[in-house]
Amino acid sequence: MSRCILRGISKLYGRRLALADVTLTVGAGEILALIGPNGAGKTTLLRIAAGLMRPTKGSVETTRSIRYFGGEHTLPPAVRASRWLMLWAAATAAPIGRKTLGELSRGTRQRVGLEAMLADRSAELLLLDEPWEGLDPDASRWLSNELRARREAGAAAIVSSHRIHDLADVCDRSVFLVGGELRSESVTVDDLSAATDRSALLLAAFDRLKQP
Amino acid sequence: MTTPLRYFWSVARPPASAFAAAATLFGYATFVAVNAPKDSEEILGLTLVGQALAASTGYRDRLIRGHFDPILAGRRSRITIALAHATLSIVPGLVFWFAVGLLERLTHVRHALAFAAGPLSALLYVSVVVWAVSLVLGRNTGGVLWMAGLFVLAAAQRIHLLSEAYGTSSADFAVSLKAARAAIVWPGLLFTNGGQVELPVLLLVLLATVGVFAGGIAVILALDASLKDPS
Repeated sequence: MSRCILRGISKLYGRRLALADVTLTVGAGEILALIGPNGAGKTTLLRIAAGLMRPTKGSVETTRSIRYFGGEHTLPPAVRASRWLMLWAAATAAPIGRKTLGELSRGTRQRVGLEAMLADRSAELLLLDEPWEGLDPDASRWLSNELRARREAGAAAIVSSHRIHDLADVCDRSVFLVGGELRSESVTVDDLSAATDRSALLLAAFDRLKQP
Repeated sequence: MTTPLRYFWSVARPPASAFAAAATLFGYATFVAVNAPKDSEEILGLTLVGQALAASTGYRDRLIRGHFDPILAGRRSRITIALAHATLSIVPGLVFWFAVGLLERLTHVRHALAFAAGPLSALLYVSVVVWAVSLVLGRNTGGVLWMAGLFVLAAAQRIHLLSEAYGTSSADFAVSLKAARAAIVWPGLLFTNGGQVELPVLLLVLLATVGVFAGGIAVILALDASLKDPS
């Protein structure tokens, strides 16, 4: 069962084409890695999938039960971290005291933001933009385990990251976005299952796709 | 999942300084109500100015920073978001106004000006206009622009012309339209005549309020949450 279907998505920012005719589907119990260089359109694609932005062309079909996390820099800095967690019925292992989100270290803010967004265990589609950014090894492991657990429970996820080794560890399939175009879906479930070094496989594919 | 109202209360409610200012003003209102009840108009005027700033909560500036992402993601419609944002922006000031009105009613015998049709419609109109203006321009801009506009009108000596237009009584619709236009430009006129307003003028001011409110809702529905600095 598909949790997210994007058909022919294009997005123009003024005259600049940020996404060109992107089509992809993510099914239940699947983690899709979205890989691409800076400015490739990953954030734009995730925000369109989340319903935060409208595509210039194309259609989006998703479940209503979506959790989106755009990174620690999108959290409202003046809100007390404990209040933010309470809002989402979430708990944290991080030392937050009475600090506001803006007063936390970058890594702690990222973790608190992820804990809040992942607190709802009934979410059917997770859209995470650079989720490992700034996390320490413990928090990185926690996030990877959490994603695997969600996959087992039938949730789908699209995860964009430059941390290829972390992505390779959890993803079932990957797509590469370069200059707003989905270059290929060449790294499949079978490729990843057969690979002895999954991150090397993804990095090699990424390097090939960056070539003009 | 949290509700839009709860979310906005946590993320975009007025700062602590606004609550402190409201408490100070309420203390002053109590003093005036006990010692100089005839000056309650001054308190309502100050409340209106306070509301002009408090209801200018802003929307787009936070939207493009991603602060509203969690509550917007996955929604087919943003109507509830828009209504919750308007409620959070406007209602605290209305509650304060009603508290001042109750104080006025408790401490003197004549009818409370706060509950008269004119001042109430002025409060609603100003609240909605500053809220709508600040949606795109940013926090406090609605209130600041409104006050700047009043200073410009006063400096250009246009207030007395507006007063004349508002003060003319007639069954003619064109005259009522002129009076309503004057009240829309300078809502302070709605405080005159003990807060009594002719029905056509009142309806036209309320119509303008509803129109601006609908415009504000449309702005929230139309704004795309493109990040200012995508990572």
